[in-house]
Amino acid sequence: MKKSLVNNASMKSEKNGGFRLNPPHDLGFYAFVILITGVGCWLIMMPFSTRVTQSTMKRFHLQSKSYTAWFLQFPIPSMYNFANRYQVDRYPPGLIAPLFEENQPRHINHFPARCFTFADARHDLFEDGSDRWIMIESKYRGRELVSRYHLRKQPSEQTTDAKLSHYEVIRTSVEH
Amino acid sequence: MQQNTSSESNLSDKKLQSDHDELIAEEEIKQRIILAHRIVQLGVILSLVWKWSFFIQANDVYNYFQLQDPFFPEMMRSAELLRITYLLVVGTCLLNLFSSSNSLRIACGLILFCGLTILCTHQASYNDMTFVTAWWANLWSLWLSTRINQDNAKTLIRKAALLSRLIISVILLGGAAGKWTSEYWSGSVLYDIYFIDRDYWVFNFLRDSFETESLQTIAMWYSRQVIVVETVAGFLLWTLPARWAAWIGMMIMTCIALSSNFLLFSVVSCLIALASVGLMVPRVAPRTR
Repeated sequence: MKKSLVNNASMKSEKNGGFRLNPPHDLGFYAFVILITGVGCWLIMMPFSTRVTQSTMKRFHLQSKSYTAWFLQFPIPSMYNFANRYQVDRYPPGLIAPLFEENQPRHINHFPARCFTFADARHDLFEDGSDRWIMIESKYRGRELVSRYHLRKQPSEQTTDAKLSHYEVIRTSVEH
Repeated sequence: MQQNTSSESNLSDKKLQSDHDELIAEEEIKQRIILAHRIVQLGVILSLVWKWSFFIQANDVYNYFQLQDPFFPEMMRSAELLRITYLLVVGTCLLNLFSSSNSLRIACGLILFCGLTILCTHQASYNDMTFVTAWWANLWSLWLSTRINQDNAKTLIRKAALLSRLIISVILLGGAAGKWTSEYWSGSVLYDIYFIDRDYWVFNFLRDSFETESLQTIAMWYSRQVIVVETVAGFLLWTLPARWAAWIGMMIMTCIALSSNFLLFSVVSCLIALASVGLMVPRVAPRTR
């Protein structure tokens, strides 16, 4: 009776894909551990390596060498990394700054370029349909990256759909 | 002779009983593994829909205001791709949650892997850490699905719990590493982001109760506490026993969201679910002498 129960359970287990005595190597597990270790090492290097910091800052500013170089960093968690600040102006830098100090730079958590790419920011910036000049700055242990962008409104005749509002992102400068 | 046969039969019966118990235990653990997979999928769904109303508004904004940034390939700027991918990911996650077929779980896991990768790298959603934590949680689910029919259940649940601890540790370390700088140690960054004008009960209460100078001091200690917790947990959480790590991981994630921003549950829900995997590891029975 017991023997048949064990045999049945064993067969059922095999049928349903139950355990095997000699399972094939779990390469996925090792790959997973290697990926996590690689990301962990990258993060631990952050305070010591200027290259790691610069690469992450460029990632944050959408200034990486290429989209592929930026893409490869996406699994690296980066919540509230660096002291990031942004400033939005209605006029080109230096034009009338001494007369009208528009906005003071504010801190933002991570990916500071979200101040013009993310939904609520796009709405606030572009609602009135005029150009914007944006400064983004990231600081970390004395290392710094400052990027400036001009968000230029595309004339409506250049857009295919009159309902859409198109803005062109122009990178005007990047300072290390 | 008869005595020998009887004792052999007893031994054989005991062995059969022990084999039988082991198989039952194995089956129980396998059920726990499937439950763990479902809990993590539920966590991912919660993460994805937590800001549903915001995403609805965002959809309108992306339809109307389009950014032509040559940094992103045209496809990765498309509002249509974002919309379709998001809905596909949520739908697939729901299917994965209720799926009882392992092949279907693997297929769903692969679709989710591709979909979440797109969401993590699209112009309009790359900055949202929700998709990064969901990507890690789903990668874990996908790996687990590929092993359910391969491994011994006891070994698999331990490996699954170890991986979940490692993922949570590295995510916390990711938060800590970027804060090892004077601007965070002084509290100035979090003071500006949270304490000046963030509309959330903790900060509203603090603003109503304290002067600016005291607020800055509170911000400094708040910031230091965040750095220390993330650093210690980032380095040590994965080394703890499974159940301890599970409770501590869940507590840290819940506290992060409760003490800073309710919307952060979109980022941490899938991590809380992932941390809970440690609770599925069977307790080690005390050794009998």
